[in-house]
Amino acid sequence: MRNALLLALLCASALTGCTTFKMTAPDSMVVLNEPEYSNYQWRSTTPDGVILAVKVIEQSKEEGKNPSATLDFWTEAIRLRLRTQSGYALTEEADVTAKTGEKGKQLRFGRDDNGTPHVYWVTLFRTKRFVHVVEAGGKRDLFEKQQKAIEAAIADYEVVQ
Amino acid sequence: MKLESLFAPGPRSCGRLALMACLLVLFGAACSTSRYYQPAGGYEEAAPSSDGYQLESVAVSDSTGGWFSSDAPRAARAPAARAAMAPAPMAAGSIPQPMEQSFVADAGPRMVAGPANNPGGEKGGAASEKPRNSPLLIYTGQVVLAVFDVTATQDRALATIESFGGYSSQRNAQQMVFRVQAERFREALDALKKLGDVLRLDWAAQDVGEEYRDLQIRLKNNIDMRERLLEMLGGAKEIEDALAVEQQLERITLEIERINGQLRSLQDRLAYSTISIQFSPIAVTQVPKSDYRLPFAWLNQLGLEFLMQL
Repeated sequence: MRNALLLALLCASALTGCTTFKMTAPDSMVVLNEPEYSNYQWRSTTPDGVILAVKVIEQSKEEGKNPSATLDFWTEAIRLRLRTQSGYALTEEADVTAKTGEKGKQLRFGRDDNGTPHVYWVTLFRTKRFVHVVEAGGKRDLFEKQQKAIEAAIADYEVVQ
Repeated sequence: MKLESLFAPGPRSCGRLALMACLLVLFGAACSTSRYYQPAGGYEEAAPSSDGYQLESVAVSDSTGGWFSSDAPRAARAPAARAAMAPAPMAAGSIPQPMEQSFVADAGPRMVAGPANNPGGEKGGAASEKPRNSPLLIYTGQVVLAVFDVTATQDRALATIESFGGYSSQRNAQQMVFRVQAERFREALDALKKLGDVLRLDWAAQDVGEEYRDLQIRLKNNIDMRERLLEMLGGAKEIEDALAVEQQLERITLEIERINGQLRSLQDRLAYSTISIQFSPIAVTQVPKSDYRLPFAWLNQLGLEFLMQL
């Protein structure tokens, strides 16, 4: 686990210096300064805690060569991980397209936390070298107010090759 | 008149005293063991084949070798050798059957004789003069098997033992007990061992020859005594005497039945070996169930708990 965290930190720090995506925060959100050790390369929030975030994972060379590490593979891995092990219910699944044309998948989950329903979206884009993960979530009533803006932000997501 | 009253003080007739003396002698004889009746020449010579002793001879090849030869005492080769046995009239090392008719009808146990105990095959000389107490072996085996699927393996074990003419006398979730003809004990055990990984294998050959012979001699003595008592009963002139004899007859009859039961049990265990198999699931490392984790750290850092932690 420690090695994994270290690897993630190294990956994050390595990616900090190079641009792999372009994301514009909705007007209702402010962009946070993510520390170097953060799991996210970019994150923004509304005043009431609805979050939009991006993490870009560099696939190792072997993973990149592995034909099974496709968008479908990562989509299925996330679906199983969240549904079977984290208590999320998959409410919707959709194909999405980045502004730069990359085809992606969007998984929309719901989860009750202490009686409060929450919404959690995971949107995936994959390039040869990177997996782009765009996450959005928050309390359902608050999230629904931001849903249009979040959908627009994701539609404007740019993958920088 | 009760038997005790014979010993009570008072006037007695000569006939009653004679009856009492006879009963005492017979009682002593019935309690005796083979040591008192077995002639010096050995049991076989003393056993009259004409009055109910069914003697069988077995021809055993000592070249059976194989399975038992490396790790078992020589006597333990008997099961393999028994397969080659053929009934024949009285011979050294054979097993006399009990006198009772029920035993005469049974297929009695056989024992090792011939070359195994008399390598030279001599019919005379010193070897034939000595009494030979050849072993009568009861075979039992215990196997602990590690198997993949206990129920399916138990079914296969049952089919295996049935293919050898045996049967299962007990079955539960962990254990089965099989009975198989003694001459097929080795084959059956070998076949059953192949059903899994043998974690433990124990077998034993218990020699019950002396016990068997003792029982037979006690049976013969009791039958003889019963015959004499019957004669006395026929000659009894007074009711009291007849009742006393009948009491003894009842006791002797019960004793004969008890010995017959013991002999039947021995014969069954001699004819059919017992193999107990304990089935144990093969120990494996736990297979990860739903809590598996792919070796991609970022996958395990998805979720609202990470996203909303500012």
